[in-house]
Amino acid sequence: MNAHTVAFRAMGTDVSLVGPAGSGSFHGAHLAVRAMFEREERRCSRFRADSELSRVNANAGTWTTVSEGFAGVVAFALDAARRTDGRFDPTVLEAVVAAGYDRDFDEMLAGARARLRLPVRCGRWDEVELRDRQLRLPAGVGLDLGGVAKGWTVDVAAGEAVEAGLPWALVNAGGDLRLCGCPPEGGIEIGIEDPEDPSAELGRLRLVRGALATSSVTRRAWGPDLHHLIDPRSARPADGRVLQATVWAPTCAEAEVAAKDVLLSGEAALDRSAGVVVLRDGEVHSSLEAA
Amino acid sequence: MTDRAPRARATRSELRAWAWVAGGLALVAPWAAIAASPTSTGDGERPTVVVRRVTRRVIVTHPTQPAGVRSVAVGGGSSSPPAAPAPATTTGGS
Repeated sequence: MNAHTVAFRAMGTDVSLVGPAGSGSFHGAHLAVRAMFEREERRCSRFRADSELSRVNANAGTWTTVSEGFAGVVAFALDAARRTDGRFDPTVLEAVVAAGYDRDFDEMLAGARARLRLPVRCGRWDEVELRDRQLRLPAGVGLDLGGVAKGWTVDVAAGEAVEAGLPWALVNAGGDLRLCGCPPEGGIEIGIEDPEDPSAELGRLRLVRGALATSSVTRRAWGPDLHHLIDPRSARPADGRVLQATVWAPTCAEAEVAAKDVLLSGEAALDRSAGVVVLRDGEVHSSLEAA
Repeated sequence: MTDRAPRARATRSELRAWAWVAGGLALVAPWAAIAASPTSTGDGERPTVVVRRVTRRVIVTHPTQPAGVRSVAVGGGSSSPPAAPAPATTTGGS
């Protein structure tokens, strides 16, 4: 397969667009994908004081008028919380900040010290009210749309790349990826990184359609047992048996939610999701068919 | 206008003495640099490097639903070179 890749950085992670080599539409598709990420970062980043998300969080306790796109992401996140009985929780902002993730991760990588606080209760997603474009958070509650906004953006960007003329396009944002269009026969090969050695390949998948997302407690970590995946039940970084969960779903936003659900629920959750789970004791569980 | 006394020329023996000093310093300098370089601390013990080998046991369960992805059997792992061309991209958490 002859594929061409361009990469850039957005939403605090590495983003890449993969498409067929030699396509004259590649440059236009690249610009469209970048524009999508810039737009959604301006809308959903909690690290930008001028983002729509920061405005909503600052107005917690009162009604705020939001854009149609922002309302769409919030509606999806609240529905995902209901479907997973709160294992996916968009209201973990205060808990993740208390765990030390209080600034852009690039700053933490540059050596900024984490400020730890006592855990803050999660699970107040069912008190969030959304009526068309009117949104009201309970006082003292903040939204963190990080992962789901990234998955949502990947979905939109992959669609835009195909709209721009690519026969097929794969957009990958930090391991959350979506394939759109008509890929070569046999699909696109995707390597699963080993959670304990990212330079090693744990296995390989062949994606024909849809999306993959991976949640890992060994990434976006800033200390022992300190990472960005909050377990809403304890309001602390998850410390269960699972190190990493890679899950397939029709869309990247759905795969992102399912990966988090499997990571918190354990390998038994593979009976409702197609994917690969790596446990702390070295076991790897897969519910995927062999190619 | 004042007259300046003519500068005294070094004698042959003085030049020879300076040449010996310069040669001696050039000979000693590398040894001095080695002697001044930092040495290992402790009682001559070397630090121990522990290499942990990760062992994986793969358990495949029957797929419960159709998915747009399948697993591919290829070589790999941290201790052996990949047995297949690099994949188009990777997924590993974010």
